[in-house]
Amino acid sequence: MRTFAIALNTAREAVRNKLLYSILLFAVLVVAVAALFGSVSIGDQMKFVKDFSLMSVSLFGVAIAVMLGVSMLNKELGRKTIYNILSKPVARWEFIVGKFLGLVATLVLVVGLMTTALLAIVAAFEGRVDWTLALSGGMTVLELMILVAVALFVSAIVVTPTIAGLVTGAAFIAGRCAGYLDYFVGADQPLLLRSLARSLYWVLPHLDRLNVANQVAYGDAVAPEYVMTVAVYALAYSGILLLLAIFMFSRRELA
Amino acid sequence: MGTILELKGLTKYVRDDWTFRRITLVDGVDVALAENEIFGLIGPNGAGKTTTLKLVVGLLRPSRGSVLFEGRPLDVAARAAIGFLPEQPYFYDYLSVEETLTFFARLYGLAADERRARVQGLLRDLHLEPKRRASVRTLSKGTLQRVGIAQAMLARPRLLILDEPMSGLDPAGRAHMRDLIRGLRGIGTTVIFSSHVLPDAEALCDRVGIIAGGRMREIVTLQGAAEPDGYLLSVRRMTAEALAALQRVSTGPAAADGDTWRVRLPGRDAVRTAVDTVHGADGVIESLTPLRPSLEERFLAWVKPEARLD
Repeated sequence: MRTFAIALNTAREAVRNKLLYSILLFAVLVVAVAALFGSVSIGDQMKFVKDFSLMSVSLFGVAIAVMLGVSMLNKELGRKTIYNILSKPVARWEFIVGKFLGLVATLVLVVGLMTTALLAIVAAFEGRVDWTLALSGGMTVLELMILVAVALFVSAIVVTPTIAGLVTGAAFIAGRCAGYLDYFVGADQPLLLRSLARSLYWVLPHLDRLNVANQVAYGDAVAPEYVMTVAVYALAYSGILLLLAIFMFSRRELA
Repeated sequence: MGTILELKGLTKYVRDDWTFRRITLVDGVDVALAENEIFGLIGPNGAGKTTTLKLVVGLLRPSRGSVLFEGRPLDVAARAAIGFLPEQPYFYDYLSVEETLTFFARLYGLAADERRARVQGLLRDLHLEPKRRASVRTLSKGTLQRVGIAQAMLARPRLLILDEPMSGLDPAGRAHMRDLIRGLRGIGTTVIFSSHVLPDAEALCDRVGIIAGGRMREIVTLQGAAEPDGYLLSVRRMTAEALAALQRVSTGPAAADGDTWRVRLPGRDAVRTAVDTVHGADGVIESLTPLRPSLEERFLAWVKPEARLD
């Protein structure tokens, strides 16, 4: 109940944040404009528009996830609102899990709104609902869930929100590029480089595996087994980061 | 009455970020609070009052020593029976007063009906009803402080910890806060509060702990039971012999003011002897006053001159 109360309050804070509305409105506009441009084109252009719109949903989602993920914990600490929470019968793990669930709920709402707008516009021009767009939206939520876990973990360690934001942003870029590490783990590479690449392979979040925008836009099938596997991966990765965040935060003094 | 809160050798030190030098914030504080007591923690700025209270509620971890609540180490579950008002309470700007209290009531795990009843009761008792839908960012300092008290009282705590509850309040607000704290004793709540305003502590507390340089220097009993340091006897129409007899049991020479003489007596036995002497000499007793050093005198005796200027 306490975790739920913190999650609900976190989601309410995000929803009442004017900056979030500005980003969301801009994102919906970008998706709509892209779709409208596509509608006056012919043939494969619609595929390009879906790809572009899904990329917009993902990038705006990332911007919101980093902004909220980094600011939520730091605001609680900076404004000392956390004193009123942790002086009550609330364990620190309940606080972190509550924040995480609240942020994920907000991102489900945000990505859901953007994806719904895209679904509606595409359906209006194609005359049918392309549900694979919703699948891409779902995968984006999983990707953002990992980023929120990264943001909370980093915020539990570092005090400055700017540094936490930069580290989370870097984790996103590295995670999207994690697939390239395959090239460095081959037997023909120097041992040191192979070891480094192998370590990074296990540590970095494989966000590239969660990005199915291209397949969806170009009509390639995404196997349910693949979706299940990456969903389990995303949940496990977020869970481990959350445990680390709880560990670090439980050692932190609230001076 | 039993002990509700006990601090045993409570110590907190931190390391300087650059030199790693140990900085002691609280140094071996020992104190036991009885049930239904009002205890004041007074000291200059930086004395260690807020750090001590943060250690009690678990926002900071002790470097040494322990905090016992009703005889057991104070853990997360025990905080259900404790209310805490931080110094300058901070709330979520985007919530109204009623939403704020409802949120905190949820953190205490109160069921929906109970939650609603307690929030409505506190809004009424603390005169917050007209502001129930107002965003907390629009509230005055005094109203915010009342919201802070309300959130601390949601669980009907057995122990209420208030960090500088009078800070920033106008005279009417201070009077209201004093009445509120006195009223809490009436419903069986133990209160510990920090302050550097001595008249507030004198007006409210059963006992006051003077903290300076992180150490509990003295615990002063204020209400009723305290034994005075001596007595001042004022008498008239005294003979020279009777006056000499009085001076033999006094702690200093008799001082004259017109035909009135004043002598300082060290204790009750001396008072009894002096009264018999005055009656035996057909003298008149004008007054007998117990002498207790003021809290301010005791406080200033412990506080370094430079700290007094804070």
